[in-house]
Amino acid sequence: MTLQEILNLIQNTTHQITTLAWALFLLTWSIGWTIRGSPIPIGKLKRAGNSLIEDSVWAAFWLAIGSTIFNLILYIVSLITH
Amino acid sequence: MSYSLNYEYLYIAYKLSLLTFYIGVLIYALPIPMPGIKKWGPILIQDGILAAVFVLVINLFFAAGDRIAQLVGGSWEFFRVWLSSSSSILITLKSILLIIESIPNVAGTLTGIKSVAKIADKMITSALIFQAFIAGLAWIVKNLSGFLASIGAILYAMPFRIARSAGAWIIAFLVVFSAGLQALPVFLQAAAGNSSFSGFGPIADYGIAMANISVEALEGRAYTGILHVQLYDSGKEIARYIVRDGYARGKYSDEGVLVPSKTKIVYDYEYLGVSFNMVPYPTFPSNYTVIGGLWLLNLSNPFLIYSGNGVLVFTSGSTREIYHDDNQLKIKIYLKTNDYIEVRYIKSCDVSLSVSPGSGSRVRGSWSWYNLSGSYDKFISSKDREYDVEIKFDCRGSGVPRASVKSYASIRKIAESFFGFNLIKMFILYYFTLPSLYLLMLYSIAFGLAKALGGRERLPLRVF
Repeated sequence: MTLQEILNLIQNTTHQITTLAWALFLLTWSIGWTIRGSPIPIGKLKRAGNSLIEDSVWAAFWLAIGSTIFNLILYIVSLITH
Repeated sequence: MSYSLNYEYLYIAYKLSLLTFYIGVLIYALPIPMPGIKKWGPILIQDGILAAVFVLVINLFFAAGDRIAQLVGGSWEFFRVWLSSSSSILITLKSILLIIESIPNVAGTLTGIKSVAKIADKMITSALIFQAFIAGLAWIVKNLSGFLASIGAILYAMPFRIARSAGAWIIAFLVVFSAGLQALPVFLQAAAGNSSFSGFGPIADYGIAMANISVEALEGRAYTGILHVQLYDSGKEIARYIVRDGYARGKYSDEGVLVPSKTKIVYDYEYLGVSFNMVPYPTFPSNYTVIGGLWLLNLSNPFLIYSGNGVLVFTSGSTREIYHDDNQLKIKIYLKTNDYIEVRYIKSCDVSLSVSPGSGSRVRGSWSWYNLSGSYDKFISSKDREYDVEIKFDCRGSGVPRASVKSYASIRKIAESFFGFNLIKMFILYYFTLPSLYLLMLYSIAFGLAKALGGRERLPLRVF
């Protein structure tokens, strides 16, 4: 396995994971609202639904901001090293 | 120095940190409300960002390490000089001890000294092995650090902290040791300079020094020849070294040769059968410049104009100006009546000497010296005046004499002072114990740095 192949493998995996994460965000978000909004009067269940929503929102936040963060790191580092 | 990092590996490490980050995000987005799995979300996100920063600033770590080493006065050059001079001193002492051990012990008179010699021999052997170990470490840190650091970065950036501590350890080790080894001689000198260790440290205190001696003609350094070291008082030759590429070379080391450190001596440079008393004449211990335990000295002589491979030009007058081209010397020289300028060369050389104006006599003849033989061409002035001399030479073959090196190590003197047991103890302290202490110190610093780089197990990122 050459370096390029390793690199491609990593990049493809990252890409797939990103796509999957977006899909899962939608799923988790809907499941979360479904549980939270369901007419079952159990507080524990409602809290679980709530935490799913919060987690999915965080995931969406990191997904959206991820590439920005890494570009920012690259930019700052290039400022320091040059 | 620059550390040539492997940028392909670093790129992989950077991409791995991205992967780590997105795996963290994926775990965040999982619709499974289990804290055991979910806790990896924020950890991996933080790891990914940290690893990306780390991979990109890895150069700065090395630069900082080098800077610190330079601030305390260390450098790879200093380290190399220290290692080379100390190991050749150890080898010399070992050879002396072997000689002592091989002296037949008639009627048990030498039992005392021989038993100490045996112990000292073992100690010096282990010190030598230890020095080789340090040299090996330095080699790894100097030559493999770029490659190893890149591998370390990849390990560091792997998801789920699989190899994070290994990567942190490799990089911490390289950074700490590349800075620390450069500063090792500084540490030893500082310790040896401490007054509570009297009679401890540089071998120069025991009448012997490692010196780097250059032999300089008016035009360039002497290519080859023989350097005799003589006692000033009795004229007795105590050592003999071969000059190569301008420097006196010993048996064990190219860094320098062993010379007496407490005696007034005379350096006599001999080539093609002519010898010159070199300036400073005589040479006092104070004439040397001491850097890192190595004594430096430049020898010169105002009558030695040029000493090349198989060619020697010298005079008894005063040289005003020299112009040197590849195979040609143009000299302006002031000669009094009966002063001369002479060129000597080996058989395989074509040499022409022309002097203008030609108011004087020419003498030609032959000489032989060690394994070499050849001719000389001499111009003797009949007036007091300035001459323009032009010498063209074209040499093939080697002009290096086949003479044996006689290293300075007065066995009796060293045996007298060295075989006080106390001295051996100090010696081992300087070459073995202190360096190992220092290495242990570096090791623990590297450990601490690795821990700092590896970070704590849990990082509080959740902002709920």
